[in-house]
Amino acid sequence: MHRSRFATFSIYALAALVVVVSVFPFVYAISTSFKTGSALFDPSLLPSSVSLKNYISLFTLAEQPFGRHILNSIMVSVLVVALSLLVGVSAAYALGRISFKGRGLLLTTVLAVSMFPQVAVLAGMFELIRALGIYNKALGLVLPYMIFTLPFTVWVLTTFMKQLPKELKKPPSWTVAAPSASSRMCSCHCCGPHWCQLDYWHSLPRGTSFCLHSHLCSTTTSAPYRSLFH
Amino acid sequence: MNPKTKTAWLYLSPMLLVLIVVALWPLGRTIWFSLTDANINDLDAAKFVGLENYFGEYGLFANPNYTDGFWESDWGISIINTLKFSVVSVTIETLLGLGVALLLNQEFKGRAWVRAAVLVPWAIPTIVSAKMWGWMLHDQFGVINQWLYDLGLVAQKVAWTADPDFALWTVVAVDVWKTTPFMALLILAALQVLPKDCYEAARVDGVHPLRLFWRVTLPLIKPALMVAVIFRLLDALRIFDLIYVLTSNSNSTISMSGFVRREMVDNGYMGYGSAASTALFLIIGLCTVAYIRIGRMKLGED
Repeated sequence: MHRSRFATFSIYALAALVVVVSVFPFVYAISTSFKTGSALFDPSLLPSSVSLKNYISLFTLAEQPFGRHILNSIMVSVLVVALSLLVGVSAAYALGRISFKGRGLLLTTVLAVSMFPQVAVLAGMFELIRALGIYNKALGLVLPYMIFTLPFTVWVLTTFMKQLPKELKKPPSWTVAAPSASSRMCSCHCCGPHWCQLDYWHSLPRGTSFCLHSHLCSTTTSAPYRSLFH
Repeated sequence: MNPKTKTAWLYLSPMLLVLIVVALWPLGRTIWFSLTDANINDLDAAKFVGLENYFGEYGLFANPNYTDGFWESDWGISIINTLKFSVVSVTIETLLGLGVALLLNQEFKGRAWVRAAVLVPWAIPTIVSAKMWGWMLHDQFGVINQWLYDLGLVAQKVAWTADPDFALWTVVAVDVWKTTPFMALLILAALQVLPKDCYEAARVDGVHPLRLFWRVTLPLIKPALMVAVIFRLLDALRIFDLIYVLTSNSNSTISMSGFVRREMVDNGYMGYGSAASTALFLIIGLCTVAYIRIGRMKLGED
């Protein structure tokens, strides 16, 4: 396709603008992390002297075991992603590839669950987690995170399963396999990119449930929070 | 039950079980608490009080102590704040997200890098980005104020997160920065699976690009756009963390979730807080139904 010179220029200019706006705050935070003492109050982007003091104290201060917070985060993320995908892909197969009564209603219900404002389950979740004995433990975070991640996984995968060519649904005559094989086929071959995508989305915006987090774990904190509040 | 339906429910059962444990049961308990006078320090001592938390003397609605009217009460203000925030931020994010997605769908050198850069705001946890922006928007030492001051756009530095005139719109701006990538990515994913032949045909016929966008692209990506907007809207209506970190418990920006947290955790009124959260749940439900009706979206259909 051939573009006019003006169009090409605008595309590159817009792309540059998008990059700068997206990345600047992050770059500024990195730059700030190298500043110490009164240099912190100087708003210039490049620090006049670079110091690693902040990073060292992050891992050496006894009252703030940052390494353990990172491990907490990894553990919770891995558990939530694994559980969401495992449960989500089987549900999405049923919702996307099999037509049965009440499918629409079920999808709406799943959506309704994800629209739970986290505070709407706060009181009950508080009680549940305390009853299970995981109050104030990183493990306790897996439960509330599932409220958000599972419906999202199901919706994205269902939309995707629906878009797959219909032929995949009817197993070719040479297989005796019923839905399970074609489900495996669909999920392993076609959903590959989507799995990664979901993985990415789930493991990164861990901050979404800060609300629940801040109540259910007063001392066991995962990585990002502790460093910012202490 | 025919075997197909049986298989479907078998596949669905793990998800249903998980959802019951993490969502339905806690929700039910919360609604129960909203009918009691529970205190967070001693849940067992809770007594049933009926609808007292909703419509009683110190209830959420019809409270005789609201001398300036409902919309001037903390609860009323938090409802207005949340609605304002949601409508404005989701609208801007959808438009910007669409723009960014269309841009990233063009072919140009370094596109992969731009796509990666766009992900940055979404990849940073809200708490971290809120703190980052909080520092950049600092009224004394913030870089934003410094720039505006140097350019002569403001006569004196502005307290972006503390001034009631600006605080809510500051939160909206940070949310737009943070969430536009989410919209852009979802829309981009939809753009990339569009059939190429429509565009070939349109090019042969010499259709104007704008017309092509309105008549072909937009209708084709509409389902994906609807899903994206729904998720964003639901997310925006329950906003808590961004506001709490940027402006803490300030009355000018408090959201419904913030109100619930304040009553339930800071003040310990589990019953009253649960009533507010149940009301919030209903309000969000109504908003969603209204949105789906307006968008004439048919859920669960192809």
